[in-house]
Amino acid sequence: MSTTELGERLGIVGGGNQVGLLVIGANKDICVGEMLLIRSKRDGGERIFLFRVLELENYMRLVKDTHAMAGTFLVEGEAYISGIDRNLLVLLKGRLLGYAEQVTDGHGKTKWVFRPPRRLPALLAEVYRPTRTVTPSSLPDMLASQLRGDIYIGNLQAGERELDIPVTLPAEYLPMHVAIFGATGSGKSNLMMVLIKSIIDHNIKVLDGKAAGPSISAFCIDPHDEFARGVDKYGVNDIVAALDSDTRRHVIGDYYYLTTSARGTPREIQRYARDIRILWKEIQPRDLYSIMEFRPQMQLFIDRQYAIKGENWIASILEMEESPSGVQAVTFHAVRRRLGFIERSPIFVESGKSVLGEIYEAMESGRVLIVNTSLMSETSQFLLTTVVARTIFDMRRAVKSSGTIADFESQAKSRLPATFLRGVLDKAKGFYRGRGAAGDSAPVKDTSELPVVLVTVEEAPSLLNPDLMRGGSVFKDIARQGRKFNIGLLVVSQQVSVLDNVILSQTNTEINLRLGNEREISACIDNASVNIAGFEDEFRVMGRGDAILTASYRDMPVPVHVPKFDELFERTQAQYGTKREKKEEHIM
Amino acid sequence: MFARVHSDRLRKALTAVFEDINNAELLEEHLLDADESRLRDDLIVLLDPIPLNDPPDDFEDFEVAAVDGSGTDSLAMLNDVRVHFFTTATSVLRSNIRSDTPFTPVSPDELAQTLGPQPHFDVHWNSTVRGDAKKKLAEILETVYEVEIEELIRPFFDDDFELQRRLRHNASNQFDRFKDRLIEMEDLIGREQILSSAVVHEEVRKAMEYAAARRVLESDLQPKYLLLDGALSVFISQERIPVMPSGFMLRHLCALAREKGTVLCAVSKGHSVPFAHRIARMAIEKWSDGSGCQGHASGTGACKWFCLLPGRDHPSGGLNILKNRPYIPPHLAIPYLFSFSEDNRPSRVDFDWVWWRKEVFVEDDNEETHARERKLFRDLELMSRDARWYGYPVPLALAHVVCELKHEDVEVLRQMCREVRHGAGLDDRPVRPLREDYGL
Repeated sequence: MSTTELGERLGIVGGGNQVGLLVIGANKDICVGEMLLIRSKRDGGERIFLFRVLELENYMRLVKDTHAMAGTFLVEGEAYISGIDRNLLVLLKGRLLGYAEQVTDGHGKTKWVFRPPRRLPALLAEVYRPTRTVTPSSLPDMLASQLRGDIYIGNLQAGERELDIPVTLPAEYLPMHVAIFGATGSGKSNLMMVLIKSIIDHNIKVLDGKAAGPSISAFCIDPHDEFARGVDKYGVNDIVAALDSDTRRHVIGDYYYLTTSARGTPREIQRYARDIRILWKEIQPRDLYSIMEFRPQMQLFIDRQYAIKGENWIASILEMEESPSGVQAVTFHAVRRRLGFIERSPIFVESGKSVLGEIYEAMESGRVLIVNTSLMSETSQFLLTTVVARTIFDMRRAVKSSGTIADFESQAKSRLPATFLRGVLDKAKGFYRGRGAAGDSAPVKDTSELPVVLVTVEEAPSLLNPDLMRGGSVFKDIARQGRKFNIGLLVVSQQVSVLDNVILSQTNTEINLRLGNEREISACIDNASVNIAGFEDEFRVMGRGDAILTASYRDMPVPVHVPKFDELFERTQAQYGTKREKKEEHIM
Repeated sequence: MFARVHSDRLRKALTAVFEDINNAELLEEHLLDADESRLRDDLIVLLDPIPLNDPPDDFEDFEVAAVDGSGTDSLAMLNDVRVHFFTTATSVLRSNIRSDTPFTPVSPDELAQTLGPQPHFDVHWNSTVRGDAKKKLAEILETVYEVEIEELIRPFFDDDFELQRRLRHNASNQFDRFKDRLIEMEDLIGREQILSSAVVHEEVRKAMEYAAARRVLESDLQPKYLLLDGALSVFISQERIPVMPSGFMLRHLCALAREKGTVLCAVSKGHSVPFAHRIARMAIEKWSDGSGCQGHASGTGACKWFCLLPGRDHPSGGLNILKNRPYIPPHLAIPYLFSFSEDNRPSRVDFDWVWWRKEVFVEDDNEETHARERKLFRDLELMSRDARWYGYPVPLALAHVVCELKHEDVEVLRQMCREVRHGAGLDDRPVRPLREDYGL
């Protein structure tokens, strides 16, 4: 690779070790977060090291005490520095992210391989800065193992510059859970919209046979009702509207938007909207244990009632006027009070038509659902998320523990409310029926063949805190076992420090946006799946949409700039209008 | 060591030493008293610096060059053999004061094309074999400062004659007397018995610096000033000729500089001028009370000054404080004490006496002499405003930085010696100084 291809020559390696490197840089406009390339040769082998700038310091050659010099400059008004241009330099301190080298495979074909920083670039090795105009053409190949996947989240960021190199997440790792951390205004909502778009794009590719399956389903909580209509110009609804009817039918289905009241929704969205209604009978005690604290006496009372009344347990408690025998009045009233929000909620209803079955079907069909929770209480939102997550999780568990469709039916009946199961059983058998025999003796599919289901947990600290997780939270089970069932959590939080350790330790992908304070920065660094010690300063200077992607399956932290949804949509909307048979032009 | 350093005995010894020094100065105090009014009223001149943002219309940008050298007399030590390492560097700057980048150094590439790569380095050796030091020294100097001996020695005798002629009527040029005795470089080395390794090293180093200065003077460069590090000293034998070849070389340089129209200035931080601190105090007092200030109100700006240090050859007579200082002024040189920064002690600059007599000194016209001196020192001050070495001429500082030989450099060079010997199939003897074997 020629040096001109590497970008702008910026400096040379001046010291450091395989972790922290010191680069003596020219006096150029450099910023924290820049990603530089170091071309190093040792023993005849050439490697391209990646170096990320974490700290900058002005440095003047031939000056031991710059403070004294600056003081002289101030005090002696007519001072100058001879040859200042040559001697003004910048010390760049930062992290070695790894290195890429070309290897030849058994067929004599060369390819780039990226490796963690177990080696050190040579002293005085030349350092280059890729620019938007001079980006090494082979950089995407060098970083393939660190950047390539299925779900686009943004472009590789080099300081304040965004390179034209997409950063994507592999679909296969989504069931190992994804966390989005960021303070208010850091770009979480925009990132969610970009993610939704990327999931739809991926599903279209799967449909067209241009990407390997399975497709991806997502249950996306939208607490501010901005995903569908968008924040500024465009929203997910514009994608839906742009799709040809055939694609829309397969990828979106009849609806994608769930809300408290579909009638109050703008007309262009209303046609894809459904009212959220969950029957009391579809709620299980542990759904409630997952969202609020119940004392042991209260749990005993609820469990007893569930054992006696089955799925009518909520109605039976709410109908009681006095505490039943063996239950203290104080316990009874406390349970009644806790169930009060269900009684008052417009979405949790005693009778009527539930949408839970449709949600389940959508999730097993590789579809995206946007759930407007802006008019719901926080508790209702949590209960909805929990019921959906638990339902899908239990269905998948039933499949996983079954050999045949008949086994599945039996397993499902033992785990799920009968009211719910009645409505979905036939379709569920269709989803899970594998190849081979017909009817109920057919084998079930392996869960890895089923769509990846991503369940968003918004305002995660309220749901995934250590107090709630101590009990029998469904999210603890999904966090630990979700990957077996192809179910992943998409945890969205402003804070890292208050989340439960089980969630943090089981999350293998973190998209770290700008954080609010030092405690959260520190917690984020501690929790990252890749060592990002020393990135504190970088977190302090991150802009809206800037993120550091860390993932346990990647060797280096990847700086990403998440594009604005509007810009991304404008750039790519033409692809939705084309006939699917035509080759797509897609940013990925 | 520290326990002993802090002993009362040492404190007492130090007290005695400093009291002795104080008494010695007190004994000479009357000499300063005798000079005080002359120093204050006539010799100390306050300087109005050239404003960078608004230079006078008649100010013409100029080029300035500077040479410095460094080295070690013990790069390698092999029994009685010493290997000397020398390095010199030349810097050339253009004043460009109307630009945003005053005193811009000429680029290394341009300098290399004119003067050769910088820094320049050389390696020589000598042993303790009888006569070896003198023979080797002569051989080295012949190579380093390549010139016909007659051409080398002539300027000294011409300049000395000029000086003697000014002092007495019956002076004669001594060149004819010595030209048949001073034929080879070896003939110019007056004192074989003092040729220790350090003396040999110092002589070669001076010769190399002078050779670098000569390259500037013989190049296409047109520096208005050429700065050397040190004094313009020529040590004279009882026969009144330089004791070492470097003395002749220095005068040769002075003649070349005059011919080219370049002002040769030798700047020394270690001035060895008695009562320099008192002269500096007088200058500040003069500046504070406003007497002698030109162009700026007293007490404003910074006190910048210079002071001629006349010797007995001066038409108005020498300073009393220099009576017992035979090397100040140096033979055929005119020293000035100067200060361009109140934060530092004064430094000294020596000029060629012949040049000074012609270009600066005006007989019986003190005012015109001061006006010419001011012009000269305003240029020197202007080139001494680099914030890194404020008050010291930046061309010299830059030359120093380029050729400076640090301890780490010497270590690397010694390692290179080992590798070179190994590569040449020579025995693998250590070359470092023997005391280092014991970590001393």
